[in-house]
Amino acid sequence: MRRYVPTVLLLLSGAAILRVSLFSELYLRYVQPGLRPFLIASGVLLVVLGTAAGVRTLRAADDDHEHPQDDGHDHGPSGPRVAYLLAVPALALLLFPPPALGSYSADKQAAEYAAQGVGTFDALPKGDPVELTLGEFTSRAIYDSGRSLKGRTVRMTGFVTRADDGDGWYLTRLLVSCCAADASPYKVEIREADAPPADAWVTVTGTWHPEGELGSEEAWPPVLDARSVKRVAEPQNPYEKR
Amino acid sequence: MAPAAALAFLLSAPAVNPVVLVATSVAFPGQPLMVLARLVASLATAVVMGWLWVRFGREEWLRLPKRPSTGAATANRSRWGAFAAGLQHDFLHAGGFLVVGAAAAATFNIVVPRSLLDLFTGSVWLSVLLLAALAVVLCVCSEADAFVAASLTGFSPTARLAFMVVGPMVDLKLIALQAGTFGRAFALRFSAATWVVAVTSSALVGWWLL
Repeated sequence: MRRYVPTVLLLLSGAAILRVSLFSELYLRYVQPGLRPFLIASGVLLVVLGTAAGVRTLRAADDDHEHPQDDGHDHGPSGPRVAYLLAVPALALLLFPPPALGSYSADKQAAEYAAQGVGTFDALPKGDPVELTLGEFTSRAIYDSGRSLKGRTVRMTGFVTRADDGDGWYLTRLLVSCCAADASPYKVEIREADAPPADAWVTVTGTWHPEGELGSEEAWPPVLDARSVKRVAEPQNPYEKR
Repeated sequence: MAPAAALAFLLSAPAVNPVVLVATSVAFPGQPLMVLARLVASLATAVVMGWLWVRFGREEWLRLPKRPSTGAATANRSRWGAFAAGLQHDFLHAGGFLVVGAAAAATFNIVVPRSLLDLFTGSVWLSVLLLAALAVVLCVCSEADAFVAASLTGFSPTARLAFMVVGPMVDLKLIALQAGTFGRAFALRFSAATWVVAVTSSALVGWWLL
């Protein structure tokens, strides 16, 4: 039976990739959206390869029972031993796909400085409340010499992280440039509202609370006076739009 | 191809390419010197490693991978069959080692507290070494590491440069992959030497340009 190990590993890996990329959008927890076609192509290739390997092994078993299967290689018929480890992430993705990164990762890292250098920004779209990403809000709050946020009501969605000291809290969202390994958090301090439990997803509506000189350390992190905080479901893509 | 040229290519391909340089310029807006410094320091590291191999390298360190599917059972196999067999072997082999590297990186990431970083921001030299070590542990891919470097705001530009030069060339997943492909004797020597050369070249280029 051991000669079927490569077949099983290839099929498991392929199925796991297709499960998170083709049959669901779970891949968004692990990589950025643009990588989906590559994931699907890899998954299909692995399934085809696994099927071919299975057929080959089956035929070889029928053809030459006398000769031991020889790969012409220094591994046994079950393939390289280290390949068994591939079963771990494959089974994890198939059976219990790991959740997206949350407050634990956000707390471990320094918040992202959205943009650098004070300057003017394009005008915000008309109509209140205006829907913004945390990155857009942060850039405008800290670097916009035109003060485009002044007098506007904004709405943002993210998860909750708690301040280290006391009972302050932050609306947080992680930015993923390539894959989850490079995730770095955006944080907006929320005032005038009680803290929901950590990791809860919320949509916060409120107004900008200017603090400190533009571009200075005191302006960091930006502050929002909340008017309403609503619990929402985790979005399809849990990471910040780029 | 001579191993020296191949090794220089192995190091420079992920570190010096247009995608990475554009990503760096986006992550460090208004700092074109950072992009130039990354290009120069990475290229210098790759070239110096190639020369070092020509001078000091020994063939026996390098266990070149045997071609799979040369046995009698495969003699009458079609070209597509050989292709599929090669693909299968490489995926299973490299994939297994990739799991080892990823597990090591994830463990370090969780076990080593990030607050440790703040202890070293005061000293210029220690901070360069620290970020160069961090790059090995984090295993961030070269297209994204500039954004991570940009977020390490407490550190000197030279330390951040070292992070971006070391990362694509030496990290835990690469060491695991190289150990699997070329053998442990090679992977340890090569990674250690590359790390030292990359840190030195970052320090020199940082001192010159940044």
